[in-house]
Amino acid sequence: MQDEESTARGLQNRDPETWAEVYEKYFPRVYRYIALRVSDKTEAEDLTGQVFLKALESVSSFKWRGVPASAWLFRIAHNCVIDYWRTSKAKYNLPLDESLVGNDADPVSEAERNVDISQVVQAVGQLTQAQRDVIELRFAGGLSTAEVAKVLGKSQGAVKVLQHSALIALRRRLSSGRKDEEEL
Amino acid sequence: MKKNFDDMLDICLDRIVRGDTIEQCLESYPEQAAELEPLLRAALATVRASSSIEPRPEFQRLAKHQLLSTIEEKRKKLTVHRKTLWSWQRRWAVALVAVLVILLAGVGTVSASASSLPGDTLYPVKTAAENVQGFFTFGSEAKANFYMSLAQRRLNELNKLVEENRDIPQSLLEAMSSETDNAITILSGNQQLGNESVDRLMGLTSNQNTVLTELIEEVPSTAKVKIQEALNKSEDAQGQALLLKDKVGHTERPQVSPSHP
Repeated sequence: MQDEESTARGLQNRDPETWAEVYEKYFPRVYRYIALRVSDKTEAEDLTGQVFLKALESVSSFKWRGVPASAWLFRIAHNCVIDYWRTSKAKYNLPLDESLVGNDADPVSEAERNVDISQVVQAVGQLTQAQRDVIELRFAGGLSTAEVAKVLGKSQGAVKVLQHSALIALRRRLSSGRKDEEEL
Repeated sequence: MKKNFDDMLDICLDRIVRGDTIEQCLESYPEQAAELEPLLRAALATVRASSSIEPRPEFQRLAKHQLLSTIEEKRKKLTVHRKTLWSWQRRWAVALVAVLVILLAGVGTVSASASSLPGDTLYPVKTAAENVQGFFTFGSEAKANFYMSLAQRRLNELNKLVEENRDIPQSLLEAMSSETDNAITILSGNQQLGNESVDRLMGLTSNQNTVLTELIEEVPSTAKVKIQEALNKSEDAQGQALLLKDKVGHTERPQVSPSHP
């Protein structure tokens, strides 16, 4: 992968090789981030495709100021999701679409894994919006704290504080979810 | 102190995302291990849950194809736009300079320049006037005829230079070839090609051939190379004129009625 500055130049020049490289690197990450937010496979695919097309449309306004391409792409993805919820009739915090999860050869372990994933998705869905933004960008998008800060327009310190409080809330919800399961 | 814990947590999270185990992270911060561990376990569960969400490979391929096709389309459009813009800018610039030359030189000078030859003071005025005339010539057949007139003019100038025993500049031969090529390009793209224009092109290329073949025997050996090059180009042009003639012949050939064999 080229360094960030030459990647930015390649993107601006609409160099197909750079775009293909960026696509391969970020498509799965952008998809995961969107899929967690919309919980619907088809919508997640459409929106991820749109993110890259929108990025292409707006690449002339993308200036290299030390901001990596990842932060720029995820800001577009973040705005796409916000627009989606603003215009969509679907309810926020939908249960996880099980087909989002990759197939497992063993149906028992696949079922167990789906339960775990559903619990995590549910717990993340109960966080405050600001905490949820940080957790999804950080763990589904795979961004660093600095990149998350750029996407959300917050300081790194603020992102770290949100990350900490989000993990405390997640831990509490996940452990209470497990207790409920054990009682059943 | 609180801020330091946030930093430690952040470092551990980066390591977990990269694939380190919780135990490895806790070894680095034994004093905070008890507080860090449950948070790292919650983070790890979230990382694992999200990493099991995978896009369908066929959709990923399809979306990539769509993106790269859009890029290709945009690049093509941009190239065409730049070329068109540049070509128009150049045409206007040439015409503008030519008009200025004519205005500065005056109408009398322009008429006087008509008989000038390459190397004469007034020759640039003559070519500037030709540029203006070309700029205001519209329609493909008219444009092709205009280029053929220019090429014939260059041939006449060549004859005169030889008569007056003057040097033959390379630029004159190049101008003649390029004007002939321009006419051929325009005529080749014309769907309703007329016999008259093609005959004129055949006459022009045949004249060029005759003059250059005679000339190559007369000029000193140093000038032979450039005349030979011009002759080669004129032979190519004659070949293309013949092809065009053939094309016109086919399109104009009357169809034989089946009832009158």
